[in-house]
Amino acid sequence: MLFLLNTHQPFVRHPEFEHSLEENWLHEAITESYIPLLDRIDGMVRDGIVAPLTFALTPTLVSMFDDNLRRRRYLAWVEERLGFLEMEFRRLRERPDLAAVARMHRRRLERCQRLFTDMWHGDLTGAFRRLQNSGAITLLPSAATHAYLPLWNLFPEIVELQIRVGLRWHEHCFGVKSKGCWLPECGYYPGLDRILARNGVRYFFVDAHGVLNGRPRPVRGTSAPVHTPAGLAAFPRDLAAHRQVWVESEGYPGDPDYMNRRRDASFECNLASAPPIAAELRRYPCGIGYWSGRDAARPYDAGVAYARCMEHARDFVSKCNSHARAVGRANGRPPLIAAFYDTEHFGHWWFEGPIWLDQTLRLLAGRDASPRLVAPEDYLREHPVNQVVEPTTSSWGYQGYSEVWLMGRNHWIYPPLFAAAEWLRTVARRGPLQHGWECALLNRYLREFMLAQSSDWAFLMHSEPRQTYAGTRVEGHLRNLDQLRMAMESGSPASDLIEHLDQHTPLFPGLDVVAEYRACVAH
Amino acid sequence: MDRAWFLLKDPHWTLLWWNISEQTRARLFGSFAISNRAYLLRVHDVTDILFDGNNSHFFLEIEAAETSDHWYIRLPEAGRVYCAETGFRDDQGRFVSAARSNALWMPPDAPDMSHREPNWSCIDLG
Repeated sequence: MLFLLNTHQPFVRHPEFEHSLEENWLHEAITESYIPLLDRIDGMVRDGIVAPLTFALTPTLVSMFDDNLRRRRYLAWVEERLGFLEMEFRRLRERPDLAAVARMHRRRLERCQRLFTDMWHGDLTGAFRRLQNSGAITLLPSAATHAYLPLWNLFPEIVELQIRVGLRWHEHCFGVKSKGCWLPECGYYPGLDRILARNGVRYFFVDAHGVLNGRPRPVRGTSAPVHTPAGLAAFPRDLAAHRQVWVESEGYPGDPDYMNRRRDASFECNLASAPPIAAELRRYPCGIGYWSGRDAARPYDAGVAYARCMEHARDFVSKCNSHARAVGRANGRPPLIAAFYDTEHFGHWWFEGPIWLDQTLRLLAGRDASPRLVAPEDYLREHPVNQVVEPTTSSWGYQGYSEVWLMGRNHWIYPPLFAAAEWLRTVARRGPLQHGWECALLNRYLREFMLAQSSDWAFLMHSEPRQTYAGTRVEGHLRNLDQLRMAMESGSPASDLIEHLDQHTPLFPGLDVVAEYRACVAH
Repeated sequence: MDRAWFLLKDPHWTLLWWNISEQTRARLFGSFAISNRAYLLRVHDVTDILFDGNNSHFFLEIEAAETSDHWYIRLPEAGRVYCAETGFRDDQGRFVSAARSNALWMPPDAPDMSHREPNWSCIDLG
């Protein structure tokens, strides 16, 4: 069984605001998912449990881990929530059952604070790196700024730039030249395998229908990887494993004994005591809740929830075992169950998720456990012969293709971005740069371009139509691109603008993205 | 520069986006008798052929508005290769092309039923 956790946040940094709503995304993910999972993996390592887990860590996320402003703001965010809880204890003094839950949250947040500060010294990248170096986890890179690659297939040099920069940055941060790559949103199109192969990638991951509808038909369905025409292995996602854990209505997360995330304390407290969010927003979920039950009317009981996690872990392993036996009999070879999830699902969306994952991995790591946990590269070393199948264009997004990123609310972003890519082509055709300032300008241009390409903006425009941040981000980057282009065309270094943008949005510091782009164009 | 980008949404739906310059429009309107200035879109099935403008397996036509610059187009069959043209219809009913798009391979929407023998390969992990 292959467990892969896709760990991604878009690059968000707003030094100009004291509180930025969108900076909450990373703080929530760190507190509710990343630190609890790292803590539990550390626990497994201490207990001598070998449970190979694969994390895809995207470059934009790692860049924020390494940013001092984001570190300081994270700690301030935790302090604000601890301060909020102190006021909640006063509000809940007539409700000892709810106060007990508040104490649980306080313990949880204090543990995050201790681990982040005392254990890891604010270095989450280092925490992941140490676990990788100990062999406990496999870390995989992804595209530089999480661009949705199938919609960029008209610009193969841009696709290659996303891959190249992503791989480079991963090697810079984690010291390993990875043979695997996580494609943003599992977005694949035929021919992308050649680009990946050229950059040393040997395996990647697609959604189930990308292989099931591949040509020719895969004889093993999704129970084994396939080899693409360029010789790479494509691991298809197992849908049953996904639904059991992901889908609230029919999977574990919707169980009434788990915390109901919809009823958040910041909507029940006095307005004056609610944690600060942003100037224009008065209330926002702070991740602290006291209720369970489908109607969120029952006080949360951590002991009951923990016991439910154990039951669900045993159930999941039992179902995987039955599935593996059935498929193994049909295929004559132990099947691979490739389970991919967003890391934030464990902890942020499903509060008890890290507990469930910890229990599940411990069961799967047992001596006689079946199926056996495996890292993707180890699986390929054990099973190097697989069927040649060309996967189809596909993604793991809603409806399985590009609908999320190409629809009425977001399709406007592509023409100006394509125009920017075409301008880069004309600059490349002019030959070597004549002046040093041109290299600095283009380095900033490429960073603004890649930031605008992040699939997150189109995703937000599709999924949360009332929010305006995503559109504002794209428009801002497009304005920067226009200013930089005009400066270049008029022979102006634009040093002040570049310095301001480099300070405001320090993405991949020190990396010569222009050199990477030139290498992509040369192909 | 005149452009037409043909993008995939799913095995049946596409988005065609075009940009035809004023100069091109003026040139075409001046060279051909085009009273109806609404854009005419042609989508050709060019599966397995080298498209020369006239040799597609078939094409479908869609009339878009004069002020349009994009159109969502539903295609009849998944798993085929299509190419789109943006242009106008002249007064004799002939298609006048202004820009041609990239070729777009629509993914299949179902498993392969051709019963081909599987090929196997050994991965080189280096």
